[in-house]
Amino acid sequence: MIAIQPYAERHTEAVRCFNDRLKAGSVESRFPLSPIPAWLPKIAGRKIFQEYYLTVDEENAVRGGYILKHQDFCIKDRVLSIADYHLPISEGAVNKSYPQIGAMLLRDAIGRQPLLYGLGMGGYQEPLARMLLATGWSMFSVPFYFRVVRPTAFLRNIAFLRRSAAKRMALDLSAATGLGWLGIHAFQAFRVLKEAKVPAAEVELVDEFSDWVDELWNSCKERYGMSAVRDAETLRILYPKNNDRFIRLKISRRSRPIGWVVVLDSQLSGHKHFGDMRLGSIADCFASVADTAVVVGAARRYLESRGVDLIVSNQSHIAWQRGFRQAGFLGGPSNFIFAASRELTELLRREGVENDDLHFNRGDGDGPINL
Amino acid sequence: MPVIERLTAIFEKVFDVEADEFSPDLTPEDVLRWDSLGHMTLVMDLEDAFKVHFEVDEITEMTSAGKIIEMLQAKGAVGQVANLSHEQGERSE
Repeated sequence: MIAIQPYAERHTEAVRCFNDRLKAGSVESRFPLSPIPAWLPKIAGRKIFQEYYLTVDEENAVRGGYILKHQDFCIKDRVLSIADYHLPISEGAVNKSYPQIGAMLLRDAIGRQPLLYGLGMGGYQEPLARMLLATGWSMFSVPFYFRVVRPTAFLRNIAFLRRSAAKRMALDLSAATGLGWLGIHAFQAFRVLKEAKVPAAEVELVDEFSDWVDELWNSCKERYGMSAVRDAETLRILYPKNNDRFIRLKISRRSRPIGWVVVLDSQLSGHKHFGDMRLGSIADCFASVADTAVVVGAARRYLESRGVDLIVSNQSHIAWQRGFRQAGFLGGPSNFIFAASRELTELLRREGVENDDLHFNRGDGDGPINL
Repeated sequence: MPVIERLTAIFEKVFDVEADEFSPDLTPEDVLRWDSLGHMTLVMDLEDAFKVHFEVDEITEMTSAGKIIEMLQAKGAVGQVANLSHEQGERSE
């Protein structure tokens, strides 16, 4: 008999063995070795936290597990707790005797929290996305935006465009001769012409998010059909002061805060999509839907001044999509998928919330872990 | 035998198992497409076809075609199968 249980200290060794079996079967995923989440542990009074669940058999062997990240969301004018279903791992991935684990995990998660979403997943062809689709979840890919800052580094590293030997040779040649640099700059300069109409803004690096974030959240939240609560308290938990990986930008116009952005500046090495580039990413953001282009433009200029090679972002809300385009970003292929359970899909339908009125980006789900 | 007949049809649809290859002894190891995705699809098709619901604990027990038959019979699914067969008969007439 296999049962699902909350992850406890007594399971740690069994999880280690489970991870060893996954590794032996060439599965990359691993389940956390500590039952207490390093990121977003459950703390009394906090509405944002993670819970780990395991499938354990009669011999106390772990055969699978999943994580729920609970968080308050604002849907129209209602605040509801919704959970992100992530890192479901099954022994079935390495042992054909356990095909039932994946279905158990998903059923158990829906039983605990019917309002579930999934984010990322690596594309529609991946096993989790296929399973969610088969069980009637609704899905769409969250648009991807990029801006090339250093064309030579981009041409030499971008995996998507370097899939064949001929393409690699052509891109290396255009990088070496400067033709690629010229082409990319000319094309992007044309796009930036539109940005000339976007008013300038002041950018301030802040250590942590404070009261002005609440004022912004309260005055703008109802213009979004659905968004995770992005008040100061939540942002201080998600992007804590002591984590210097997160760069917090306060964007103001005539000294009045109009938005905020969390950006990352990462030197990559052998990344499957971006090679060895220095990657700037706009991971999370919030502003009035009227100010998105100003905020994105300010964040873009800040990251350019730091010397990144490429700036990327994923944004689901139509106002942010427009903002990125107006700030000189181009759209690219996206494998960043948003999926909603049947119950969440039905709730959004009843509330009249369309897909492009959802505000999801890399700050949601399991956070900007791969950037 | 109606449960077996209906289950045979579901195994053929979900797992590509030909009717003459179906047996209550079949386990995931015997069936190429009986993986995580296949199992989820199987559970949903069984629930649709037999108008039953499987709890998480019951999904665990679906380790062979024979076990699934026993579970369906325990849920009183025989009557549903009979009705389905009857409806199919009516449609084909």
